[in-house]
Amino acid sequence: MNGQAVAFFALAAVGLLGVIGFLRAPRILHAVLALVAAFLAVAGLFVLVGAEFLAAATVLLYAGAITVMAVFAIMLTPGGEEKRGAPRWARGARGWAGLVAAGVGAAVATSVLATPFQRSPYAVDGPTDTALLGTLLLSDRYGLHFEVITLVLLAALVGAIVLAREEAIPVRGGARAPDATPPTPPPAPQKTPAALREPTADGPAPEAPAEREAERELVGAGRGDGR
Amino acid sequence: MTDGMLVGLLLFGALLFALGLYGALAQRNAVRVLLAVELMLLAGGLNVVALTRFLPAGAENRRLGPLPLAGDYAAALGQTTTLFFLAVAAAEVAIGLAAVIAAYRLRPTPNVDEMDERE
Repeated sequence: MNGQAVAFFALAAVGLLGVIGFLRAPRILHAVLALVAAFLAVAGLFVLVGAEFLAAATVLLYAGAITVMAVFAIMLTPGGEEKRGAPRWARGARGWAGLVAAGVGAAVATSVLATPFQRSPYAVDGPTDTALLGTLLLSDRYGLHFEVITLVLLAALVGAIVLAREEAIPVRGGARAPDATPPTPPPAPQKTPAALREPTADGPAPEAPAEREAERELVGAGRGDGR
Repeated sequence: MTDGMLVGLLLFGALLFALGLYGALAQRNAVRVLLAVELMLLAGGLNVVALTRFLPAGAENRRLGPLPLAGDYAAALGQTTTLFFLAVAAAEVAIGLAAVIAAYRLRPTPNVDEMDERE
């Protein structure tokens, strides 16, 4: 058992414990912190197989950005499992999910074990040249993919802003609207974008009833669809 | 690196994928579901990187055709693919969390089973 095998087993154990902690932690913030450990372990595995740039990107993106965004979303959506216990059907759903996941995992594992993997005699060890990755990203082979993925990211971020805007879907109940947010006009006056930016002196008072009206309409429409 | 290590890496990736799938199916909190999907994506990327690490490098690789570059070309191809995985994961989590926040405005609960329209 050489050093690489020891490192592999240690990182795999950390990753496994992190994922189990993510699945089992009763509080969601603890779950996210446990998942950070799993992400870091996978980054360590990337270092082990020589993908050093990828390891750095994983630490930045997964352990950093994605986790922080998840924590933001958790803070913005309080009142989850800490308040209410799981309903009765949840246990059965968990059993079915375990069955499906175990089936998929067993299928992949058996196919991995049944395949006679053989390391190519021309494979090389050691870290991959990061400059080669950069050249490849801008080469003929991956240049178009690279440009498309930048467009995907741009569209996703613009879409995220549009989705999460408060004007897109007003807060239900209207309790937060008057004090927490600047006066937001109802969806109708989109032809005057200046009103969005500059709250005038007589802004909040006349617009509040209209906004509540829009909310009632929205909630009523939702109920109507449901029944 | 040995063949056993490749099998170990692939099995670990399969395990991570299965646990992520279990989390995506069984968890109730929407943020937890999204993070479980992220875990599945990362497990797939780990498998791609591990596999391409064991392919013949450089100009000896016949399957990839004429190679414009020297060096560990096969591993670099796998890592570039995984970089695209990372970008897709970032896009997915941005959209997903924005959708969670938007859904929370309509129905103030982060649990996916309570988000349907029935009371």
